[in-house]
Amino acid sequence: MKRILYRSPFVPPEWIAAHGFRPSRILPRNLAGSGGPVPTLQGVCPFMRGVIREMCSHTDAAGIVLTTVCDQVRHAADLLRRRVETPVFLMTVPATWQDPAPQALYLSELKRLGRFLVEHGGTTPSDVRLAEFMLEYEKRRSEWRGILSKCGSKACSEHMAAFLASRDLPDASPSQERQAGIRIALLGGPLHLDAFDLFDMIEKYGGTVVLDATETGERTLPGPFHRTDDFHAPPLEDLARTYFETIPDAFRRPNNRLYEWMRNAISERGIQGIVLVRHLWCDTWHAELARCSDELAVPVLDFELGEGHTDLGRAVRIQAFLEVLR
Amino acid sequence: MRQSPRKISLAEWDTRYAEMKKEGLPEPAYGGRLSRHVNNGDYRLKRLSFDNSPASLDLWNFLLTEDERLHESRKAGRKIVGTMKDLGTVPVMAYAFPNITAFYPDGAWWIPCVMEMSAGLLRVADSLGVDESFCPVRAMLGAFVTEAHFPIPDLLVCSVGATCDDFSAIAQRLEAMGHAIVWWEMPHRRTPLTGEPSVRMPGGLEAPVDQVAFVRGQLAKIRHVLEELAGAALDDDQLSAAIRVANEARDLLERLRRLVFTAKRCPLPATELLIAEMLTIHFCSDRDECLRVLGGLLAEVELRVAAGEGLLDADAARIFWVNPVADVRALTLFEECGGRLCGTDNMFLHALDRIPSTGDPLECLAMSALSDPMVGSATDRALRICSDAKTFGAEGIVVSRIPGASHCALEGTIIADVVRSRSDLPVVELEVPPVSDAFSSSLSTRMQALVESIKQRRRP
Repeated sequence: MKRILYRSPFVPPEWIAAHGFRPSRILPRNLAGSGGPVPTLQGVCPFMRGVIREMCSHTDAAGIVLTTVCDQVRHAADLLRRRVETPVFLMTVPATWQDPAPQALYLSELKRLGRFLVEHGGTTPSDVRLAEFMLEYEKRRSEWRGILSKCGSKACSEHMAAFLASRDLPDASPSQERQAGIRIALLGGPLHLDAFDLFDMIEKYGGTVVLDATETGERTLPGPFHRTDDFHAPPLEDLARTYFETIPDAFRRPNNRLYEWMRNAISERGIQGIVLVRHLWCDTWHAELARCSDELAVPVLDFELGEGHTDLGRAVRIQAFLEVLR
Repeated sequence: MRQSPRKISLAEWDTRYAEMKKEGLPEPAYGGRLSRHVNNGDYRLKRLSFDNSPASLDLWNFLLTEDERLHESRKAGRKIVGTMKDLGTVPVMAYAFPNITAFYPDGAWWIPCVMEMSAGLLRVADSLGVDESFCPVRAMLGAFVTEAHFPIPDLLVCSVGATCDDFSAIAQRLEAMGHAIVWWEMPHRRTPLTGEPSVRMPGGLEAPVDQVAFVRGQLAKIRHVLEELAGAALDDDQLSAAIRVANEARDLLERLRRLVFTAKRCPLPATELLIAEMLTIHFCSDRDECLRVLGGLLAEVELRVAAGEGLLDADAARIFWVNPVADVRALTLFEECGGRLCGTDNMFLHALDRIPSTGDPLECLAMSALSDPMVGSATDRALRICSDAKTFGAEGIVVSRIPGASHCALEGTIIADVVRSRSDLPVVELEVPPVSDAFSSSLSTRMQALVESIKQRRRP
């Protein structure tokens, strides 16, 4: 089965799978090194560059789906179209949400994505087929949420990453053990695979991650569908509504839902500190740092991921942060 | 009173101003010696050179008195609207209301340059967590905190979506600081699919009809918000009339640009042309006066061209300039290096192109908004640059990066790619910080390299 590569949590894998493709969320292993169509320049987000480089290495892919949630990715799509043969689809994900028009636009973009998938070898799914995939993914997400309430987040985040990359379930289930320690939330942009070491680093210095609210973690799991058991209305509308309305993110305007979501999580999980993870040159998350400190009632540590991931300086920052929280 | 065109220093302007006053110089209310603005902190003026015409004096004085004008508007009971990011769309609608004055708080990005960092706006932005990794437009945050520049608007509207992350993030920070913002969505402009109904836009691009309808809907929302603020409805006739006035300004500017870019000798310096372009975005907070200032500048340039007069060397290298400079001194440096402007894309060509004027006026405005070069692909933008460069006879291209701007890092690469594949024009990229003195040597070197290469290519 041919793969469609994507990265953003606002691209529903159910929709891709229902068209007969294997949806594959791309996370680069590391960000160091050069190569790929995006040049190494000052100002270029290393994570985006790593994603694009990784996508280009999968020459057998039937297509690449990128979104407009980030300015740099928007321009990278343009560059990709000039440099690689794999078809590239740039999907508009509106930043605003307070009136019905942006949600209608998101739905129309999903339909346009559907046409792109059919044009490149997919088949238009029936409502029943789409509903089946929606239920499958919904079940998986429900399982992850259950695990996340009990076990360490690293195992579950890795499990999610593995499933979303291939739709194959890893052999081992996430551990049911969560280490005792200072209760930390990760918040911010996506983690690349090597950056999952951050969980271990936090544990090493006496903390435990009780919430992974990075883009690759629990925060971006869409909420339950409205009609998971009874799809009378077109399921695509339910899919669009759920993805558009229930994923809180920094890029939304206004983005107060992100703060509401975080305040609830802090209260429910007894979070004692937040590590805000952001990539170099990511303005969207960088600008939220001061606001997080102002508005969330726990200490916040700025944790910038460069091209390397967990060097000594960063480890010392984590160690000092946890020491302060003791 | 008229003299041959020449670039003069601020001190020379004082002497010339005194002479012109003796000769009975007619002046607008905001007129006066240019050097008085230095006393208000606009220290950068001392490092610039200026065109010596009375029309240019009006242009500078009009620009540098905008904050005063906004405060006077407030005192006169007019509502102040801060329109953010769309650069040229919402103000057209706002000025259709007799009791609204609209301006761009984004314009604060020039304050660190003009005041040579003395206003401390970037330090305030630093303290709010928006440091030098962001574009200089972060100065806007400082201007809101200090309240020492423009008055705090009665209403803020901001376009987001296919806009730069810097601005969107900074505007969100502003809202979190307690300044309510009405957001409106600007989708990424895409190429119509085969068979998809599309419409031809200003600037020659095609866009899907659905996208125009979407933007129209967003602008209808903004119209409603403005109506509530103004306490009066805005009908289509009034909006059409406002579009006609905006087009008058755009027509004046179009004639001005064409003359400046194509005249045998350069009739107007680059800095004055940049300011003229910026006036049309929101009329510099006075629509009628903006038309008068642009008209005066055009008349001066027409006289110069008719008389075969000009500034700069006759063989100056004809260069297309991409992106506005954070430090206007860079344009003076550019001319000192032997360049002259022969085409510009300062990120708001949609505010210079005529707004369509037949049919539903809100749809016309939507088409204008959607033709923004920054909301489409950089390839589209580069193709327009290639086309305009050819039209104006440019011999080379400067892509000027804005430090920290999220779009600049990749855009420059794409624009250079497209230009090189579509033409044989040499391209140079450079980066201009808000005060570029420390970089003037490297900036000059890059500009000189381009100028020399252009002149070598002229040889048979």
